[in-house]
Amino acid sequence: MGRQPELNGNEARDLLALLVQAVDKANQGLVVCNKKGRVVLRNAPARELVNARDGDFLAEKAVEAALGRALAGAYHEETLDLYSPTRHTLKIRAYPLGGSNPPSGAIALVDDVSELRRLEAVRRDFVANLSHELKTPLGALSLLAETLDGEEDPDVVARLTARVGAEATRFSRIVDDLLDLSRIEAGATGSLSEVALSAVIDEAVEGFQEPAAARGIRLEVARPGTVLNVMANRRDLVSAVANLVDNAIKYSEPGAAVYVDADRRGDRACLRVRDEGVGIPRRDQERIFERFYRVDRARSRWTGGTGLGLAIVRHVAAYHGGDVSVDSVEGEGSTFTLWVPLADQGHARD
Amino acid sequence: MLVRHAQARPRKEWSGEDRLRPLSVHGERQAEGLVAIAGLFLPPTRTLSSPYLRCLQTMEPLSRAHNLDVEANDDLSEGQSSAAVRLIRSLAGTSAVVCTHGDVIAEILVTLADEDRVDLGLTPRQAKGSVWALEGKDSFFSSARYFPPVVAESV
Repeated sequence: MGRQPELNGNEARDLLALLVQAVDKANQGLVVCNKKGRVVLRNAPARELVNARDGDFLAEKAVEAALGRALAGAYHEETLDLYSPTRHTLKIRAYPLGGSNPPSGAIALVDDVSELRRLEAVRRDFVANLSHELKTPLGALSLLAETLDGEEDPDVVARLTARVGAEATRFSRIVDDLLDLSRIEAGATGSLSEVALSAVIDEAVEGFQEPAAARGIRLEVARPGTVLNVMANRRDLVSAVANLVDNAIKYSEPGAAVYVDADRRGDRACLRVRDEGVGIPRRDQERIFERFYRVDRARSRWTGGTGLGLAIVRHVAAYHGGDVSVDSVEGEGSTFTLWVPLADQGHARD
Repeated sequence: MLVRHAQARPRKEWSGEDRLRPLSVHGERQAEGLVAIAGLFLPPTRTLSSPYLRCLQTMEPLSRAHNLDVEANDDLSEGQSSAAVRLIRSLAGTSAVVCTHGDVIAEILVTLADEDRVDLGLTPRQAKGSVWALEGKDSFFSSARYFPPVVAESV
C-alpha cells in the first residue's frame, strides 16, 4: 500500500468524518478505544447491538472487557448469550491496534449471530431427525428378516413379506421426497412457463378419485370459472397440489368430503384444498410445514406419510413467488390455501 | 421386558395344531436362561404371554422362579399388531415380562421407534429367546435395549 499523502488539518477532518460515516455502513458492530481504554469510536451497528437495548449492560461490559484484554496485547474472542429484551447471541472479537507492545489502541468487532445459531440448530435437528427417519424402516427390515428366517408357515411368510415390502416402500418414499426437497432447495427447478391452473388441478387430483371413493370420501373439484394461468414448473406445482389433496383425504373420516377449488385474488391465483377431517391444533399450525414435523405420529404411521410433504409444498410455493397457509379448527377440518402469482393474463393454453 | 419365545420344535416335525407346538430341548434351555436375564432387572410383578404353547413354555421357568402365574393374553398372539401395542403401552413403567412372537415384536418395536422415537440402533435383532428391555412410563417409552438369548447349561 502506498503512503498516504500528507494531509492538512481540514483534509484530515474531512477524511475522519468520511471514515466515521463509512464504518457506520458496515453491518458489523465496531468499537475502537485508545491506549488508555477510552472508547473513541462506536459505529451505528455497535450502538444498536450494544448500547440501544435495555438490559444490554452485559453486552457493554463484555465489549469493554474484550477491549481491555486486547490492550494487554492479546486477541480475544467470546460468545455472549443474552436473554433480555429478546433472546440473542453476540460474538465479540477484539484485536490490539498499532503493534502489540504496547498497543496504541484496540478494536472490538461485534456480530449478532442469533440467526446463524438458529440455522445451525435447525440443521442439527434435521440431521438427527433424518437419521432417525431412515433408521426406523431399516431397523424394521432387520427385525422382519430375523422373523422370516426359518419361518415355514406360508401364511406367516406372506404376511411378513408384505411388511418387508411396505417398509422398503417407506424407505424409498423418504429418499424420493428428500431428493425432491434438496433439488428445490438448491434452486434446480428449471424455468417457469405459463400453465393453466385448471390443468394442474386435473392432473393433481387424477389419481385420488379411486382411493378417496374406496375410503368413502367424496372428492369434489370445482374448476375455476375463468381461465387462470400461472407461471409455474408444472411438475412441481402438480406435486404440491397432489400433496395437499393426499393429506386432506388421509386426515378425513369416511363419509366426509374434500373440496378443491381455485379463483383469482388480485394478481394471484388462490387454490384451496378443504377437508372436514380431524383438524390441526393451533399450537401445531405454525410448525406443520417444517421437515419431519408431525402432529400425530401414530396417525402418520398408518397413513404412511414421510413427514416431508408439506415442507415440499412450502418450498414449491416459495420458489414460485407464492405462499401456502393453513386455516384449521380441531374437529372441524382444515383448509390449505396455495397462492401463486398469475401469468400476464394473455390467452389460455388450456 | 419383551421376550421373543424360545426355539420351538420345527413345524415339519409337528403334526398337531401350531398353537400347541412345544419348545425344543434347546428352547427349554433358552427359557431357563431367561431367569438369568431377568435377574438384571427389578423382580417381575406380572408375566404375560401369547396363549401359544411355545410362548407359555418360554415363560414357565421365570414365572416359577418368581411365584407368578402366566397370564395368557390373546392380544399377544401371532399376527396381532395394534392390540399388542396397546397392551405394551398399558404396561409402561411396570416390571412386567411379556412373551410373544417375532412378527408382533417387530410391530411393537417399529411402532415405538415411529411414535415414541425410541432408538433401536441400526440393525436391531430379535433372536428366539432374546429380550428387549423397554423403559418408559405413562404409556410412553423412552429407550429399548437388546439382550441376546442366554442358554442355561442344563435343564
